[in-house]
Amino acid sequence: MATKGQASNGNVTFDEKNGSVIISVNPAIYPLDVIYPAAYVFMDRAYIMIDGDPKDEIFVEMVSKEGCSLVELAGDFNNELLNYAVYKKQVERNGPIREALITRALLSNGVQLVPEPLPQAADAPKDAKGAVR
Amino acid sequence: MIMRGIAIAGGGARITFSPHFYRMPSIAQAAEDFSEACSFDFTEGDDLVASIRPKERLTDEELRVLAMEFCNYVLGHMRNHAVV
Repeated sequence: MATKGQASNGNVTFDEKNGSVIISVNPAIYPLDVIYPAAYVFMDRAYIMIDGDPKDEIFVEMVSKEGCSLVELAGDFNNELLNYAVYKKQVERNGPIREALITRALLSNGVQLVPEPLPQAADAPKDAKGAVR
Repeated sequence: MIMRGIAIAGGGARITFSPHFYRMPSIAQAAEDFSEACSFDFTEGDDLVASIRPKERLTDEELRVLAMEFCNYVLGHMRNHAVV
């Protein structure tokens, strides 16, 4: 809920007085393992603090560094959340296929668990004069 | 500029971290990395509270920036923990 000096727009509350923006995130849509990497991307553009209730509503507070626009920060953060949510979904969807491919690659004839013994001198191939090649 | 979880007073800063989103080992690790510049006190209750006292005298604005940099640093540790 916006108070004096604050303005809300969707899930975003701007606090011009403090130069911060608070983004409300629904953890049912964007879980914490999506929020952490999304926030990490913004560490060079903003100071970030996470608060709230992990089951109900998570607040990501961002204070802009060096004159970055708060509107831009909030919009880009929402986009980044979506980006990581899609990435997570794809990773989950492709998980079984990836595991199968890696297992197959490891079990294919390229991997030898017991190394072959080195050839003995007597077994080594020799040329016509009997010298070991 | 200030964050809700940061209070500046008496030449130091007090940062309140939610235990839902931050782990004490990550905060302690970050504090160790900042130990050349500041000394720390921790309180673990309903919230994780870190009190920072810089070794040099800083203005309130510099203290705020230091505290917010510390928050970002802790968040970096949290993200690394979540990824690994």
